[in-house]
Amino acid sequence: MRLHAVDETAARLGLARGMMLTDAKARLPGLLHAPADMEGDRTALQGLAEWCLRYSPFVAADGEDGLLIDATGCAHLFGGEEAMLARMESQFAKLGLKAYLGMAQTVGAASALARFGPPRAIAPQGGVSEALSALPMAALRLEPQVLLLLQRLGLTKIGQLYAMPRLALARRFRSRVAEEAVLFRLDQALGRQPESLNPLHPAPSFRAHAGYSEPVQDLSFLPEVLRRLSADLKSMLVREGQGGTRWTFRALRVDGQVAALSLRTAQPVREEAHLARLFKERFEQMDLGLGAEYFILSADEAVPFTQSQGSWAESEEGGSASGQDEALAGLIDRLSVRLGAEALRLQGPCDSHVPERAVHSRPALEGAAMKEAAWSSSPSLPSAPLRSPPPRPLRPLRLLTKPEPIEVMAEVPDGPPMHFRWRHVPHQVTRAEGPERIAPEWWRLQDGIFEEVRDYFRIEDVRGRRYWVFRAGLYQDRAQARAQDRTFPGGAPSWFLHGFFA
Amino acid sequence: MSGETRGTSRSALMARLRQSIAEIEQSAPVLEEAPAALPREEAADPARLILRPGLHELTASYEDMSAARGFALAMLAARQRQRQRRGQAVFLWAMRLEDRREFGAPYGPGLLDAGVSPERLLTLYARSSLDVLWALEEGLKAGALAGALGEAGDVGLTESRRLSLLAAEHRMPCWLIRPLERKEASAALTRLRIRPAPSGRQVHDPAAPGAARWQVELEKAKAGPMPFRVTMEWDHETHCFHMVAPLADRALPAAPKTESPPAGEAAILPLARTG
Repeated sequence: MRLHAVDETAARLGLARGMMLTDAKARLPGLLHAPADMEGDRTALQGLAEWCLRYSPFVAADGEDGLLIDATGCAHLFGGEEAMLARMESQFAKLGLKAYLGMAQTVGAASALARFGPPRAIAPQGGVSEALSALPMAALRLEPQVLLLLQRLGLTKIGQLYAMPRLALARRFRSRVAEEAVLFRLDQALGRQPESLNPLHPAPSFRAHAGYSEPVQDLSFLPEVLRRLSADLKSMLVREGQGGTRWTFRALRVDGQVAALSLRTAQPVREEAHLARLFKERFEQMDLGLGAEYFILSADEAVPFTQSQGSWAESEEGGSASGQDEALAGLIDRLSVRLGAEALRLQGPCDSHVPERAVHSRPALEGAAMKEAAWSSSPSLPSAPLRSPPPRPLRPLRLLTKPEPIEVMAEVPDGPPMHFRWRHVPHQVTRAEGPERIAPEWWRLQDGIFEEVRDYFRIEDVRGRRYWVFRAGLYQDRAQARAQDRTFPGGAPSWFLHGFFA
Repeated sequence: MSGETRGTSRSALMARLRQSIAEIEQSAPVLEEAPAALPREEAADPARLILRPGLHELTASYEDMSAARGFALAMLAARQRQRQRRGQAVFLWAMRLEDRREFGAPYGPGLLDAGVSPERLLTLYARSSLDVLWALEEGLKAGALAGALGEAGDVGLTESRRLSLLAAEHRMPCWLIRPLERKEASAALTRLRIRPAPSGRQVHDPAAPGAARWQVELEKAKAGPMPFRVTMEWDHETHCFHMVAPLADRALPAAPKTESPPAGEAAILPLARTG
């Protein structure tokens, strides 16, 4: 077993990463040690990266122990680069973390300065090569065997590489891979090769943030925070003619953790009042711990904002229709946010004659797509002669997700049941209509899904309760199937209850 | 100086509070106000009573729940017709997940048959009765619906009172389907007990079930008629209720024996009496 990490005291006493545990214990008998939790470290680093969103929207984890922050255009918010680094150091210190900071024009140089440079090193504009020259080769993010090779060649400082002609450098290395690695990393650090960070979150379209000098611990203060942020965001959205459809509200806690709420809306939104209503339901889910001092509201997805997105209800007056639509969209958002997008649904027709596949139900939040697939026969006022029979037999008002088996007594072949028992209760059938034969779809049969032919009956019992029942399979089919395949359960077809009429 | 300003601001605050109390007190009787005595014809027709703005309850025994739901849907269809011209015909139907497990989900083609457009029916599957009630309240407040229908188990007096006030305030009907076993007091305007009834005659096939019928018992109606019981029929084609026969020994208002009314004009009329 080897040491994975050591603290400052241990380092002072001569321990280092990579040392054998037994050696270390021999040197320091009183050494305290614990197994490394790589997974835990990674999660904590991710959490810390979220927390660093306060400095810039572009944050990424760098290896196992670093964070990369793209501070382009952010430093002035903190009063300059030095002030920004000083602020970061003190804020990390409050979390109980010692942060080694470095800032430069390139990812490679910043990483080198942070890990091997002086405290809070900043490479001045155009002075990257100078700033790096005194740093050890390890700062170039090279593999251990490449480092070893460089050491053998007597190259220990980055600056030694500058003076050397590139061709000469290439000749010195035996291995082409090592040569390429060194030159590539050097070029990256000096900005001759582009390198970009891979941010934790894609850039939000719009973002507003606010810091508080006192940590906010009371959930009841959140609406005020949100109001302030959404007012900022609204002015940006209005300027660009946009509205947000995906929103995230983050609270950066004083303990380095982040509490976040995300939600979607049916229509683009930018009104403070609307956002306040949507988030209000969810604030109680936020865990502020010992308090949060920094808040970010972002519109992660924005689309052009239009006053009304098509009409739900065709209004003859027209005037109030868009107001109605907005109110309806607001209602859908509110219900979906509080009870879950899956809870509120709309139905659309499907092109299938098998009853359970003739409809599909989708979250109402996706309602816009729904409107295209309209129901073929509109139940608008029937003005034609009313006495013609409906084109197909009636369908039930409620359909069971899974047909329930019923026990049928007094069966007439190919006829409706006379008596049946459903959920232990016997029913005597007085009237029946049917059968309506619904055959399985042949293309499903081809896919190896076996379904039986169903004969549906609309029946009514003595009390006037109306049900939709079906018989699965035909008598002769079953006999044939049994003759061909002995394992097929022969005998009388089974009956199922599938739906309820008014 | 500071004492003085504090004094004035306090008196201003008191004045504001007094005013808002006065407003509340003033508006409360308006909300509580009993509807004016209904015309005789309307009072005898449950279908008209339950389309009034306010909270209405439908109760049924467990086995008859499907009938109550069917009746509620027919009612939605009637309401949809009533409101269609004003461009407001979206409904909310809130139920618990367990209701869906037990009795299935509302089925689009069937709704269409009953005269309710599925694309205008938002269906909500909530985890608890509490969520159902919350959703109904939000639905009433939003002012975007033509009506809200809920199925809930536990509804206390407070909850029904809240719904009732909201429905009255927003001039919208709200219907609650409740199991019969729950006998809590309620602030509903109307309470109907629904039982299924053998269906009407079908012209094409006498052995087949005909138009849906229910036995509707008016158990309670604020400022309405005394309790009575009628059999009502739903006409699938014209999408309106007919009253079949007076079962209670109560004289119905004389209804002219006309053929079906011109569609879209008079939405609901007591029609053919076959008693």
